[in-house]
Amino acid sequence: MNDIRNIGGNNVDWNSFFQSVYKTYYSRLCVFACGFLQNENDAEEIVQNVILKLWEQKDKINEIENMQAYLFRSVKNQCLNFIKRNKLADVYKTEAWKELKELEEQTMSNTQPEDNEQQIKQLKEAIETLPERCQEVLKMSKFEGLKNKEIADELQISLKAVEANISRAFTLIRKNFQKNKEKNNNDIGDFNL
Amino acid sequence: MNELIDKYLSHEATSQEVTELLRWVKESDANKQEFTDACSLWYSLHSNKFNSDKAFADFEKKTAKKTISIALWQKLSAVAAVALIIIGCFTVFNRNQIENITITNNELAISNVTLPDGSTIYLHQGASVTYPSEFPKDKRTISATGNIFCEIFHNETAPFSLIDSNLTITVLGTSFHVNTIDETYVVVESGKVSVANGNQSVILKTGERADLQNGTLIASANTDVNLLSWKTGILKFSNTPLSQVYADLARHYHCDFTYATSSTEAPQFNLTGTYQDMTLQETLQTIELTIPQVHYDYNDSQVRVSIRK
Repeated sequence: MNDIRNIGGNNVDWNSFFQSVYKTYYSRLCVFACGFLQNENDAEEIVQNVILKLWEQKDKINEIENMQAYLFRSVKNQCLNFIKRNKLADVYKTEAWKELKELEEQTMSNTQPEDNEQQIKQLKEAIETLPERCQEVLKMSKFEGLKNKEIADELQISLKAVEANISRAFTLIRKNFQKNKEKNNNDIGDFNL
Repeated sequence: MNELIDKYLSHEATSQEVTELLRWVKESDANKQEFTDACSLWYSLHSNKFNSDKAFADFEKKTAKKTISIALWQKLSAVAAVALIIIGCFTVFNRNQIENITITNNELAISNVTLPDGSTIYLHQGASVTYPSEFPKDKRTISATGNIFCEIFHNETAPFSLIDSNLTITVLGTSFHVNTIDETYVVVESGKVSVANGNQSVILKTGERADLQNGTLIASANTDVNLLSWKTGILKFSNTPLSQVYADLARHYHCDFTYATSSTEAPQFNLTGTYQDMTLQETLQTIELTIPQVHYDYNDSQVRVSIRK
């Protein structure tokens, strides 16, 4: 990962550099953009454009002190422009929402890529331990991208039941993480998720 | 509270709920930590939806296109720096619009230009040619100055005309040589060419030349074997007086000959020999071997001629 944070010299292999940018940040930047736009296609387009712009200005790439923070900030700015242009919902105008987004951005800008990988691995394990129905609903919702209504129809359960299952899945996963965190803290002291 | 975080992250929270959530997050560090943990988990859970490999493939496609156009431009500008100054606009990318292209050769080396009809124009140092990015169907007209050689693609339906400040040269398909520096002349290497100056015009055949002298066009057989030496790279001398040799070399290499004070004119020797694709220095050294009585000092396109005693 060092190549992303420290690139210098004249013989930079840009192809592998950008490949690792995609591998490390792309999905998370999309999730972040989705938090602004709701629409996944718009989110992906904005992230693509931000990375393309970075490519166009790759001569100046060394001036970027923190690549991860730069990417999240650029995506945020593009999203806010998009919202302004397209006059999206009022909730985005509230100061409270902006402040929460700010906090979210900071959190995500400071997460180490290694921790992301670690967390995804841990998450997969956590999901496997969920009760069957819980697991099924969560996978349909988050991995297959189905709407709650669609899940309800498919599984022939009520919308409320779908929401409850998702909520329960989250709670259980959080507990699982909390447990792991405490265990890790005890093991190596200052490990921070 | 977890539910509220989920609602916020999935866009379902109302303004009121968002405000409530923020208040709660600010209440304590533990709450803030819980919020950031939830965010982090949300990201891990949702990043599956996005295919970074596919996105990178798209990125590669887009940047590959950009790289090609940049590389092309860099190549063009490199050519411009080495041999040519390109004035005007290339309209390769916009075929609907016809624009004039002017190419000037500022280097000693000959540069050649291929016209839209496939004809080739060779430019000697200082020569320049202007032509449209696309010829109309019925005629091909270009303008040029300086010392040029034209190989014109044969096309009876679209006569080729070259216009400079004095002459209009019209051909169907041929090769000819025009010079407009110091003296103005046209020499035909092959084919048939019509040369006009105002009201007067002459028809030239292979091996003939027309000179513009004091406003009058005079046609004659060409006896100057080295007239095209700049294009062929070959200088031929056959019992030629050195004064003529120097004149031919001066024209070929764009240099000046001066004489040392002891002798004020060209030494009286004749030279025979053929010199091909040689630099001025190499040619002078070879001549000095043939006629050792004459010495040449060469410096920045100035040749100083002196007699050895």
